[in-house]
Order: sequence, then structure tokens, then C-alpha cells
Amino acid sequence: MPTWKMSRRALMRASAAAVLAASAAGRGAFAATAGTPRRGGILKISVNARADSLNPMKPKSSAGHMAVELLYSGLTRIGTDLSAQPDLAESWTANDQATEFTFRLREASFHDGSPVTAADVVATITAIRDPASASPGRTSTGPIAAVEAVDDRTVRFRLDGSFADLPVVLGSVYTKIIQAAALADPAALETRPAGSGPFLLKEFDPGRILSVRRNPAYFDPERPYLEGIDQLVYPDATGEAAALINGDTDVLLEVGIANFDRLATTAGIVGERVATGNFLNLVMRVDTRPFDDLRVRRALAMSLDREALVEAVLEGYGRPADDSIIAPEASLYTAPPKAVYDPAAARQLLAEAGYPDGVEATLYAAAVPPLRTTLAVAVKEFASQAGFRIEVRTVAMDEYLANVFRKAGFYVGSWNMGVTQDFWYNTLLTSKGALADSGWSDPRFDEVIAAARRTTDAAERTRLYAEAQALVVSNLPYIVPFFLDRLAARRDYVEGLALHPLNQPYQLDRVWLGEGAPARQE
Amino acid sequence: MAEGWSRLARNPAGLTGAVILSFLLLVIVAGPALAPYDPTTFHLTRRLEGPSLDFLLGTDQFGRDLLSRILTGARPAVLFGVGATALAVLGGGVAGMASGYVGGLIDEVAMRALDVVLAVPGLLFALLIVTVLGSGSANAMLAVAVSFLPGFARLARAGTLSIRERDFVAAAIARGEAHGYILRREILPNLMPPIVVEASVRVAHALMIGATLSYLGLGAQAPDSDWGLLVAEARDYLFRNGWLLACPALAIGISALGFNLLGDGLRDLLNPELDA
Repeated sequence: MPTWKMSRRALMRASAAAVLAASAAGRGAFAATAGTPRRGGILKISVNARADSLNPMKPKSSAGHMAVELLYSGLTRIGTDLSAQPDLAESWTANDQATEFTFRLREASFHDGSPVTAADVVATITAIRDPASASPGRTSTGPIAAVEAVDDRTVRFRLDGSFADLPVVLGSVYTKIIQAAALADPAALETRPAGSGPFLLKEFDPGRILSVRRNPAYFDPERPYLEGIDQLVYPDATGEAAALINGDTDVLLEVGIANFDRLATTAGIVGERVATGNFLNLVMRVDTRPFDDLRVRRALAMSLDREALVEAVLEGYGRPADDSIIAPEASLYTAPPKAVYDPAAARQLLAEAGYPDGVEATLYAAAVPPLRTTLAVAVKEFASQAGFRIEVRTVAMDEYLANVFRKAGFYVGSWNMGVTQDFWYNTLLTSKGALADSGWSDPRFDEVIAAARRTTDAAERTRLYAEAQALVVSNLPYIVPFFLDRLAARRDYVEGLALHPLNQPYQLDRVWLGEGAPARQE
Repeated sequence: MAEGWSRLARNPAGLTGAVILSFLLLVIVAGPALAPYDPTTFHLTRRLEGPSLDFLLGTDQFGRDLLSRILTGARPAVLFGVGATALAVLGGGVAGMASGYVGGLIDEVAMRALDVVLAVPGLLFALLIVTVLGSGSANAMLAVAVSFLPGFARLARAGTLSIRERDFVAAAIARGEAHGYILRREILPNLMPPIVVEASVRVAHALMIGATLSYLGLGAQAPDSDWGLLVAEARDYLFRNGWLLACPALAIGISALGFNLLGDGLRDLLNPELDA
């Protein structure tokens, strides 16, 4: 495999480091680098699918998530460093076992002027936990046993087990606080918001436009800076890019890798890029030949040049990962040992495992996202140096879910970054994980993950997660070749756009329009 | 026979088709040997380049040589078209002849059933079959064959109906020949000209439907260098390296044109009435 120049990757690392530094320093640092926020103006933002529902509890398209974030507030927000930050709750405390949390609410009001009270929080959380709600928030909010209003502005959560991450997961888009009275009519919530968010709904024409205007009674006297936001639907990626180039829209939040350079070099458009923990993984079922042998899994891992994969599959828009599903952006992170690239040693290892003449394997990839097939083709080519003869099979998504996921011995997975380390570890890798798909299980691993849930001491939790990660990386149920970057583009007058390592939140209440913005006042 | 070739040579469309197909035949036989590189080898320092002396048609997103990929893709593309058509001719021909020769209620039922299938557009029908069978080149070929089958069956039946009324068939029956003999020796030879003409045009269709199915991800699978797949992969890079899209698309177009022109030429050649 030929080598190539390092300049682009060096540049990439530098920019990723800059992003990390900015997120560590938080909001203050961001504002300082980008000038003083200005008030006013309507931001036009494009989305590729309509906002299907405005009900915070329902699963939604990303446009729907964005709308809910504009219209509702949660108890907490998830900061760019993935820590819990105050939103409706101005402070909170937990007991030592992390089984009881008390949140203190700030003075805030719903869009109709009535105050946000503890009773609204209790009603919302109760509704989410009702199985009838079918809310994704029901399972992701941890083992909540009871939630009660201590007084008008104090809420107490009692948990069945320890769950130190509660304040973080309560910042999710599914746990926005809904006015208690509005919960009686879930159908109305689809189109009529009952929240306390930074923007008020002005117009909602699904499939065409969602228009919001500044909430003058929002509890933060400073934000939002914008007078309003128009979310416009462009189902076709080419049309969406053209709209940004023509100046019909100001922000394009999901830019494909192949289009990014072209957009970013267009005059008046700035490319935005942030490192995320979104990843693709090669799942090698540890109960299926030939990957039931750890030496075969390690041989495959050693045959892959991660830097080259980032370049070939992601065109440089990502970072090599070292087989841990936890990205450096996660809180309580410890770096795993660097993955070794050594095809000769890999071939040797394969011979020791009883495959001196190489080994055959079929690698399945779902057709969506297409990156899965691209990775599979690249892996086939790289791994052939170590003696792997891989056949790539691309299958439709429904076939993938029915016959490949959790069943086939070797396939490409694709996941977004988890809010907490606990989330993906508990979902994918513990013995009872809801989506555990590698066949690997280790009682010690389960124990460590449970222990990390029990303690609120950050240093101890960091140590525990490091141990869990070491167990995963040494047993190698997955090969995680890289973490993806998120790519977006904005007109150069759009300031304060802070891309998050998670797919949500969008943090549009921090955006303002600077010099050169078109006058779109009403 | 010699007269046939000279007549083909005097027919510009047929001649052009024959020339294109001769060239295609060369590529099919020798393509992989002519390819300057292994079609799956990555040249990661030379990704998405335009044509150069090293890479005559440029490189794709992995730095694979486009010329090599197109040359190795010719064999599966053409074999797909020819294979699918051959299957359809075989199946449709036998069914049509049998149905036309037997006649009566069986013929009636069989033809109405085929009418139903014919009413569904070919590509849609092929898509349906591939969806049921699962994606892959073999399944796609089968799907195209099945969707072509009713057309050939109709053609064969129509021919059989008219031929079986001819005197030489009546004579054969009078001689007491077996049905199999009559079908093979009396009817089939007279059926062949229209079927050969139809088949040569159909190959072009099959080739394009095959490329379409691969383009949609239902036919050949990555990292094959199937032409339709090459076009599909090039979509994302349209603005960065247009050659990636243009070259395989041209290859598909020219090959289909070759079969079409040859079909036209053959029709003129095999249809004595046009000779007047």
C-alpha cells in the first residue's frame, strides 16, 4: 500500500484540537473568538426532511429535533463537552449512591405566560415513562422509580438503581419539559407546542416551512440573538446546496463528504467541521468462525491502516480510532492504546490461528449510509495483505435488520455518538445489552459498567471506564477504524454556529447574524 | 452466406453495429489482459484524478484505474445482456411454440397469463423479481430473462400459428411424423429469423436494464467493476471528476447502440420482402 503526504492530516489534527480546546473552554471562549453577538434578523436554515412532529416525546427526523429544541426547554442542556448544564434547572444535587437527585428550577414561563413549575416536570417525566407514550426517552433516561414535586420549584427523582448520568440524559431532546395541562391531548402536541423554549411558533407547514420567532419572555435575557428562524425543506441534496450557494438559505447542517470541499471553497460560504464520536464498526461475532478465535480478530485489526482508511473512506474528514467505541469527545475519557498496523505480523497471527493460507469471510454492509459499503470495500483491499479473502455483500436496510444485524458473523455497523459512555456500553456490549450484537460477554465488564453507574466521583468513574475500555479493546468484539467528522456550511455572515459532537443539540439560540447579512426583517 | 455478409456490408447501420460489436468482442476476450492495472488496486496518492499518462481515463475515489475497471467490466456487462436474452429466448421460444402448436384452451390460458405479465413494464417487473430474490448479478439476470420471456413467447407463438398452417407442415403430418420432429425440423428453422432479430435488439435492452439494476444497488455488488455500479459510485463525484461518470455511461451507451444497429442490419438481411 503506497504512502502519501501528511500535510492534510496534520492540518486535520490541528483543527480537531482547536475544536476540542473550544469545547473545553465552553461558550465564553466561542463568543470571544467570534466577536460581539448582535440582535435581530431572520436566519434561514435548510433541512432535508420535514419536521414530522413537534411532540418532544416522539421519535423524529433531525428537522423535528431541531424544532423541538427551538420551542422547548429541558431541565438541563448537554454542553459541547457532554456535561450537564443548567437549563430550566438552575442547580441540582445527588446523594452518594446516585440514586436520588434533586433539581432546583429557575423562574421561567411557558409560551402562554404561565410559570414552569415542579408539577409540569413531574407530569412530563411521568408521561415519558408511561409505556403508552412509546417515547425513546423512556429507556434512555435510566432507572427512574419515582419523581415528585417537593415544592413549586424543587423536583426530586428517586431511582431504582444508581445512575450518575441522570442530569446529562435529562438534557436529551426527548425529555423537554411540556406544560402539564397540554399532556392530556398528545395529538395536539404534534402541531401545537406547549413549551418554554427560546422561540415561539409562528408558522408550521409540514414539508415546506417551519417558522419561529424570538420569545420575548425567555428566561435568559440575552439569548436568543436572532429575531427568528425559518426552517426550509429541501428534499434533494443538490437543490439544498444550490440554495446555500444562491443565498436563499444561510446554513446547511448536513453536508456530504464528497461535496464539502466544493461548498467550502465557494465565495461567501464557510465550511464548518467538528469532530464527533459517530463511528462505523466491523462487528466480528465471537461465536462464529473464523472470528471465534481472538487471533483472527487481532490479525484483521492489525491488517488495517487506520490513517489510510480515514483518507480513502472519509477523504480525511475523520480521525483514526483504536477499536474503542468511545471517542475523545466523551466525558470521563481515557485514550486506549494505539492500534498497531502490521500486515506481516497479522499474516503470522493468522497462520498461528490455523489459517496459514489465509481465510475467507463474507462482510455484509447495509446500503444506507453508503459509507458502510465504501468501508467494506476498503477493508477487503487492506485485509488482503494479511491473507483475508473478503467478499463484500451490500444488502438493503430491511434485509440487513432482518438477517444480518446480530446474526451474521461479520458486518459493518454504524452508530451515532452516545450521550454518555454508559449508553453505548450498556446497549451494545454488556451481557444484557438491548442491541448487544457481537456475542462477546464478560462478567467483569458488566460489573465495571454497573459500578461506574453507582458512583458520582468523576475520578473513580474515569478509572472504571478506562478498565471497561481496556477489556473491550483487548477482546476486540469490534474493530472501530475511525470516528467521523460532522460537516456543515454557512454563509460567512452567520456567527456563533457551534456544531455539537452529538447530532443534537443544534444550539441555534447562540447564533447571530453579523456584518453583510441580508436584511430580512419583517 | 457470403451473399449475406456482403449485404450486411452494404447496410451502413448493420456494418457499424458489426464493427462496434467486433471491438466489444475483443474487449470481452482480452479486456482483463489489456487492463493496465488490477481493477481493484488502490492508488491512494492518486485519488479522483483526471486522465493522465499513468491513468488514461483517470482514477476513482480509491485511486483505482478507471480504464482497467471499464475493460474488466465489459465481460460481465455483455454476458449479462446475452445471457439474460438467451434464457428468455429459450424459455419464451419453447413456451410460445408449444402453446401455438397445441392451440385450444391451453394456448388461450397461457397467452392471457402472458398478457398480464406483458402489461407490467419490463424494468418494474425486473425490480419486483430482484426484490423478492435478493440482489446480485445472477438474480438480476434471471429477473431480466423472466421479464423478457413473454415477448419472445408471443413472437414464437405467432410464428408457429402461421407456419403450422403451411403445406409443408401438413405434409409432415400426413407422413406421420412425430410432433417433436415437426416442431424441431419444420417449424423452428422458419421461426428463427424474427427471433434472432428481436434477440439482438433485446440484448441492448438487457444490457441497459442490467446496468440500471446495478446502479440501483440491486445487481452487481461493490467492488465489482460493473458499468452500472461504476456510474452509481461516480454520482457523488460528478463535480470533481466527471470522467468517472461519463466513461462507463458511454461504454454502456455504445455497447447498446452496437447491438441495436446490428439488430437493424440483421432485420434487413433476414427479411427477403424488403429486398424488392
